[in-house]
Amino acid sequence: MPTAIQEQEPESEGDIIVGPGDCRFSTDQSCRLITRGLQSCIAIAVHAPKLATAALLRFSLPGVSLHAPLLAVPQRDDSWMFAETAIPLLFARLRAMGAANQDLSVYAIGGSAGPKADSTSVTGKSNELAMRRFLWREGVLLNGEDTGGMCSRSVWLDAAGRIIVRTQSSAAPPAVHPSRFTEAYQSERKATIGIQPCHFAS
Amino acid sequence: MSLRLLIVDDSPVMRLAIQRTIQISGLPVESCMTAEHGNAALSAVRDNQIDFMLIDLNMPEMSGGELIRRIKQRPERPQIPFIVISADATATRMQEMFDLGALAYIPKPFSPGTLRYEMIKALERVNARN
Amino acid sequence: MPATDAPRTLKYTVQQVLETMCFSEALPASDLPPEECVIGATVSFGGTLSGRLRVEISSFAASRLASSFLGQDVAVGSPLAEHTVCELGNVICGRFLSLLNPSAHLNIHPPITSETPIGDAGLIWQNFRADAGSIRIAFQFDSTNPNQGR
Repeated sequence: MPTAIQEQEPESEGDIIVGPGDCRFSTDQSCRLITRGLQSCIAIAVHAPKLATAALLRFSLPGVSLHAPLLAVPQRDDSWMFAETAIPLLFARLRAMGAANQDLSVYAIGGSAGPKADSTSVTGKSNELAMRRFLWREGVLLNGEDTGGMCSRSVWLDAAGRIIVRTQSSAAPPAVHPSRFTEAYQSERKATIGIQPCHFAS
Repeated sequence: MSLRLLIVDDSPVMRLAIQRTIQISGLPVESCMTAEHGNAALSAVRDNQIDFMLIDLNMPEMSGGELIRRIKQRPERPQIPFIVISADATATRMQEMFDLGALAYIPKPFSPGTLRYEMIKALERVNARN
Repeated sequence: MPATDAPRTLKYTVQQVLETMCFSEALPASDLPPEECVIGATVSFGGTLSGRLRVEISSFAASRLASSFLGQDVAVGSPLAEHTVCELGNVICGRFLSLLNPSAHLNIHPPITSETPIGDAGLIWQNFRADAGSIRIAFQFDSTNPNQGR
């Protein structure tokens, strides 16, 4: 049975917290971009070494047209909330800074289901598919990912490209026993992704 | 080493998708030709210096397997490295293609990341041989 | 794999193919509203397993799936949408048969677009709702036992 692990890293002065529907950029190698408690949300972590710049995006929902009416409070600018708008905007901002796609290292973290089969699990998968669709549209391939599953994740990223991902598994076992097809699909998916999960510690 | 690639697939959209993946993958590719059937591929191999091929199996008139056998029969440069990409993921077909010298066998459907990963691994093996 | 696994295998295959190729979820649907404009493709296969697959996708869904697959906008009615339906049929067919009988010898023929649906005998139908529209898949085996020759 999975056990919860301590996931707190001490914050430093100058660290920037990235919340849901937000994106931050940093050129300061002494400070980190941090986002915590990723479940169905997905974080896109980007390192542009030639610019000594890091970016951390955290989006919550896949598409504007389907999901904008679901927001409890209308946002003044919810471009970062949806994969459909956030991902193109992120790479447009990086291009405006002078980055080319081939110079970027891009990682995706999150998109997990909650401990029970509820709307969170549906959104996690939808977010993951939307992420892949819009990254493909931008002409970007991932260098690493840690997505899916049923755990909560937190990310620390600095402008030097050091990235830490910590997971906190749910104490409850999965509600549905994996079927043969789910196991086959998951093992095949891991085998075919061929990209190591991003657990790089500085 | 800058590669001259040949993509052989009768599906126009699959050729486009593979080309796009190659273009954004960061692989050292000098040129990327395409052929929609086996005879076009044979002509491309005859008329151009091809360093690497990605081959579909189920094509009209000449299957990918037959194409590979014909290329191997050429006295000049019979050993062009290749990867197979196919919707046929049976063990029988995979073994047949590995016996013919395939560096990798990518079952469809595949993600762009998978194609890039398999290309990188295959090129490492080619470079190690050379 | 017993023949009764074929419907479940087909459902898993369609979902895997659409998610991997087109980044699109395919949710099983008990019935679908009639679509005015549909693109249909048929894939025939022989060898250990013989028969045919039929895929029918609404025109709007086909253009959306093609856009996702290619990473660029594809207009409704574009030939690229039709080619995408054909390739989806090809991939679903190959994947489905390979899962059903991994040691089979397969000859999968190139897909052809046609308005003619395949006959009713021995059909395994599945309906799906993708985020862009409706998808219907049907299989027809020439023999009643898809594990023949295994």
